[in-house]
Amino acid sequence: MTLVLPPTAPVRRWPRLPRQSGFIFGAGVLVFFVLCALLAPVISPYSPYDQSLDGRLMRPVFMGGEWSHILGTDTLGRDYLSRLIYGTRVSLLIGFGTVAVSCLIGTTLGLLAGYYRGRVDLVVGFIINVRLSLPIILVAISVVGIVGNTLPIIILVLSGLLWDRFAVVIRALTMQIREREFVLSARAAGAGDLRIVVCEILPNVAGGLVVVATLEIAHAILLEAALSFLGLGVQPPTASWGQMIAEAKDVVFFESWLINIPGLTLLVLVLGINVLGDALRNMVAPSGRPL
Amino acid sequence: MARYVVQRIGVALLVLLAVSMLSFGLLKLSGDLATSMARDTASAAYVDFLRKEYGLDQPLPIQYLRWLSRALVGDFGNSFFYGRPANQLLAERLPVTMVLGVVGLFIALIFAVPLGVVAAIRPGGILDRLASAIALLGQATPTFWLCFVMIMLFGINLGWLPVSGTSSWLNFVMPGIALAYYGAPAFLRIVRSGMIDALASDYVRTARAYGLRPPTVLFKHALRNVLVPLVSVAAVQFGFMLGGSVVIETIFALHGVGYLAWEAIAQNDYPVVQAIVLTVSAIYVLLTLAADLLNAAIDPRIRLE
Repeated sequence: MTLVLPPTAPVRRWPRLPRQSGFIFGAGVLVFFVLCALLAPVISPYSPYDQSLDGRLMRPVFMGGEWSHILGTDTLGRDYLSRLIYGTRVSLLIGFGTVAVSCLIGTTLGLLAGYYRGRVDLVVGFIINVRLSLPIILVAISVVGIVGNTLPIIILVLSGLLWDRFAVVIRALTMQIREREFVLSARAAGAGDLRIVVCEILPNVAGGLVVVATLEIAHAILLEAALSFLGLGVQPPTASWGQMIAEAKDVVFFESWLINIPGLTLLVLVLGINVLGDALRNMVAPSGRPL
Repeated sequence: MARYVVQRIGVALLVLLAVSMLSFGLLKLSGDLATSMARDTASAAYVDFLRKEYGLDQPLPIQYLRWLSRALVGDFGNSFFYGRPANQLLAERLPVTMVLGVVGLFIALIFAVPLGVVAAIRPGGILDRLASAIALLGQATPTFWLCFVMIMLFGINLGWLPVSGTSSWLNFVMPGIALAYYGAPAFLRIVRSGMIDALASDYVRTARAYGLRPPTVLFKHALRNVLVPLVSVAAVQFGFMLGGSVVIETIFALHGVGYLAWEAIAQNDYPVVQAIVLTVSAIYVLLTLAADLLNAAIDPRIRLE
């Protein structure tokens, strides 16, 4: 009898790039902000830290300000546009950093639970339950407040709180895929558990992974802004959008644009990422059920 | 049914136990408690005395058990800052957060349920797209910015609503809307998808074939089936809202649990922080337990699974 090689997992062709407006809008927004973050030193008109005591609270151009400071200056006379551009770095760093770590935690747990089922699934289900009963913002501000508000700590704390959706989705997808013929034949051909999980299952849950990752990036960015707003985000004078809003709190009744500019920027970025996530979901699983 | 109830309660207790360990660990993260209690000026001898007095020289498992046995009867120790029992502080602040949570939940439901129903009538139609746009926007709006926009608009420019404090029910309107904004997309989604399933089912077709009026079919026959997932999601969201109201409470100066947590963290008042985290988690666990049991009572399929 000749050895029949197991058919490899059907390579999921990347769905044709859709001409969907959602995908284009979302991807466009994300690319724009990534470029801002990468090119911050090049495109910022000023340093985000240079204060100027006689140039405080200058209004933005659309409110009759001068073209030298397009978005005006803040309470310390720092150029608002430059701070906004540099703030992109913090938001994206936290968004991507958090998701990198939380994806690792959640995917590992989800694969374990979905592949082994039984007791392993029970244990993972329990861990997910415990995680869900911890209030995210409360725990995040508590831990950051106690341990310290540096960038790596914030990323680790948020990762420890945002992995649950990865675990839930990957578990469900893995349970479906492990029964498919190509997995069974790989097992019949003698492939070990690790090989099956890494080579057969993982490539087939990658689509779901990307969708969850996109949405969690947005989640992490909003949480970072909330932490910064509460004074528990990255330390000043580092520019972060949440912090810009917090710093403008005292003058909000007179100069509301100071809050609206970073607030709207944050809204556009998060909206773009969420729209991208939804578009990706429609591409990966048109019925959208397991996600 | 009895088996399901016992099983579900057992899991809830285990989750609470795990959460209590994490809360205990939170306090341990803060380093040497004796030093923080003694403040900067104390002598080394006094710090040593405190360490012995509070049992901080004992092994960790013993410390945990002693702490747990006290926490079980609601004794979380004294606040470093106020010098009063942490549970007293919590009991004073909890009603404000609860009221805020209920108002938020109520606003979210009266907004999201009808919208979800009309969105489901024609999936992909104009109302459906509108609903999904609202959900997307709701998820993307930073709560704290929304709060300021509302304060500027309703508080300052129009002068309709008070912007801080808890003196009347009007004070809860804006924070309630902000909180609802945060929870509504989840309701919208669950009602919409549940209704789409229900409307495609045989019994709805039968009801329509009998010639029942469309609103009767929608609200009496189809919406009923969305109730079970809606109860679960409402319990979960209410729990999230209690924990997520920190930002809103600080902006509107509502002296609830979230505000207390924020103050306590700023003042390194660890017993209070710990008490809040544990209490809010416990409330969440109890809420989801109650929702599960309620659902099992409504829907026999759940308890027989």
